[in-house]
Amino acid sequence: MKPSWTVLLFVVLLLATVGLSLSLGSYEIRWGELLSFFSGRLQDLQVKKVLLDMRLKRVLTAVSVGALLGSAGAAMQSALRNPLASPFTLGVQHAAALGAAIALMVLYGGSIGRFSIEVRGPYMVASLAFLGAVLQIFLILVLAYRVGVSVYAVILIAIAMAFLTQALLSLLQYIFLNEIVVAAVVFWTFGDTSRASWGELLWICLAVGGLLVLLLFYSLDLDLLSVSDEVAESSGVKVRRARMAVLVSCALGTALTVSFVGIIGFVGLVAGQMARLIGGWSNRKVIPLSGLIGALTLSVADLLGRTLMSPTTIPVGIMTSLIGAPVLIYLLLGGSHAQGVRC
Amino acid sequence: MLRVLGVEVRYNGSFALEGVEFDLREGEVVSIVGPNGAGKTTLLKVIDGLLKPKAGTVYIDGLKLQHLKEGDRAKLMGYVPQRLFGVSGLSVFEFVLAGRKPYVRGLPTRSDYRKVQAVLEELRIGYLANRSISSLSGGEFQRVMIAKALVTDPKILLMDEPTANLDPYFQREILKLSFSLAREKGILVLMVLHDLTQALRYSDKVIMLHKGRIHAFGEPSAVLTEDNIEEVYGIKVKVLKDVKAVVPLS
Repeated sequence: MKPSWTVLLFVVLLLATVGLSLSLGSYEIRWGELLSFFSGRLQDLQVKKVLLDMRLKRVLTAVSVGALLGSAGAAMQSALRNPLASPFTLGVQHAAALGAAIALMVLYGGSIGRFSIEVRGPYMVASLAFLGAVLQIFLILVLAYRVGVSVYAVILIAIAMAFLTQALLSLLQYIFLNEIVVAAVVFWTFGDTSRASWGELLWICLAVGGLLVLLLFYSLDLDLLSVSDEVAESSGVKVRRARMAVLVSCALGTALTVSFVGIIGFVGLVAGQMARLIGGWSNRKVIPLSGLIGALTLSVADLLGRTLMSPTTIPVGIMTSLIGAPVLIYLLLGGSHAQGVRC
Repeated sequence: MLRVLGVEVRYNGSFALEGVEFDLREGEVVSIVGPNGAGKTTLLKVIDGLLKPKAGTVYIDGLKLQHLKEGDRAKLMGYVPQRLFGVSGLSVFEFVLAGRKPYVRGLPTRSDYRKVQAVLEELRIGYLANRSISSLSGGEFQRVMIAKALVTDPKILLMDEPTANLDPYFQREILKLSFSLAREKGILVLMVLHDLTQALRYSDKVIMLHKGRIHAFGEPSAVLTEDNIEEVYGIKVKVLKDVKAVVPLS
C-alpha cells in the first residue's frame, strides 16, 4: 500500500476510534446524538453532560498525548541515533514520579477514599511532578554538555539519573512506609487520560502544536544526525545545539503529559518504528506520521481500557504496554524490513 | 584559494600535525599521501572545520575559517568521510537533500528538490534515488556521498580515501569524476589516497605527510620519488615514469 493511502487509512481509523470512544461506555450515546451534539442541536442535557464532562475531554486527551509522545519518540530516535529511544529515554517519568511522591507523601497532596485513591491537590502534584522532570532534564543536559552532548553521554547519564531518582523514590517510600500514600503514588504513575482537566488539555494541545513546528524546523538536522555527528557537522548543523533543542523540547513535552496524565509507555517507542516502516526515514514525514500513529494507538488503547472490562476501567498506561509490548517484540524479531529496529 | 598556515594539532599531548603549511588553487586535484597515522584524515578535518587546530590558521578565499559560520563553511566545502557506521535507512534522495541544509531554513523548497535531482542525474545515479543509503555497494555509496557534497555547489571537495574498498573499475570512475569536477567546475579537490600510483596519475599536486609534518609538497613526479617513498614508508619502490606507476620492489 502506498504511504499516502496508509496515512489516509490511519486518519479514517482515528476518526472512527474517536467516534466509538464518544459513543461507547456504561452510558451509551447514539451516533445521531453525537451528530446533534457537534452541530449544536442536542437537547438532552444528560448526554451533553456525559460528553462534555467525561468523554470528549478524555478522547481529546488521548489523541493529543498520543500525538505528542509519538512525534517526540520519532525525533528522539533520530537525535540519539537509537531505534530503541523513546520520550522516556531521559527518564523524566522517574523524576516526575519522585516529584509526585513528594507532593503526595511529604506535602499531603493525596488521600485514599472508600473506592479510589484521591489526589487532593492535583495542581500541586502535577506541578511538583513537572518540576522534578524539568530538574532531571536540566541535570542530564548540563552534565552531557560538558562532554559534548554525544549520543552515548546523553544515554548513559540519563540511565544513571534514572537509577538515582528511582532510588530516591524507594527511599521516600521506605521512610514513610505508609501503604496508603505508597498506593497513591503507584496509582498516580498509572497513565490515565481521564485525569487531565480542560485547562491541562489546552496546555497539552499547545505543547503538541509547538513541538511539531519545532521538530519540523529541525527535520533536516535530524536526518543528518541520524547518519552521524560528523556528517551533520560538515553539512552545517550545529550538532550540540540541534540535539539539545530536540531533546529538551521532547523531554519538556513528555514531562508535561506525565505531570497531567501519568506514565504512558510504549507509544513513543512503537509509533516511531511503525512510522519508519510505512513512510521511510525522512523526519519531515516520520514525525507527523508518528504523531498520527501515536494518537491512534493511544485512542484505541483508551477505548479498549474503558470497554473491555466495563464498568471497571483499565488505566490507559497499562493498556498501551499490553498492546505495545507484543508489537515491539514483533518488530524486533524482524516482522518487516527491520534494519532500523534491530540494534 | 585555500591557504593552510602553521597548523598544529595534538592528541593527548603528542603532535598529530605540526607546522603544516601550503597554498592550493581552484580547479586543482591534490592528493594527500603518507603512512597510517601520518595525519592525513586529521588534516582534512582541520580544513573542514571539524577539528580546531591548537595553532595555525586555515584561509579560504582570504577568509579565516574560524570566522565562518557553520552554514557558510558548509556552502564552501563538501566533505566525503571514509565510511559511515550508522544504520540510517534514509533514501538516497532524502540523504542528498539533507546536504542542502546550509541553504534551507525549516523545510526544503522546490528548488532544493530540483537541485538534488540535477546532481543525481549529473553523477548518473538517478536510479538510486529511492534506495536506502544502508543498502548501497561501495562504489554507489561513494558517488552518493559525492552527490551530497556537491548539492551545495562547493568550491572545495574534501575526500577521505574515496577509493578504499572499491574494485579497480569504481576506483578509476571515482578518480575520473574528481578530475572532471576540478577541470569543468573549478572545484579544488583534496583527497587522501593510499595508492601511490593513483596519486601519481590523477593529481596536480601531492602533499606527502610523515609523522604530522609535510615531508614533500609539489608536482606528483617531484614528490613521489623513490627516495621520498623509502624515507616515509620504509619500503623500496621503482617509479615507472613512462606508465606513471609506483611498484614495490620487495
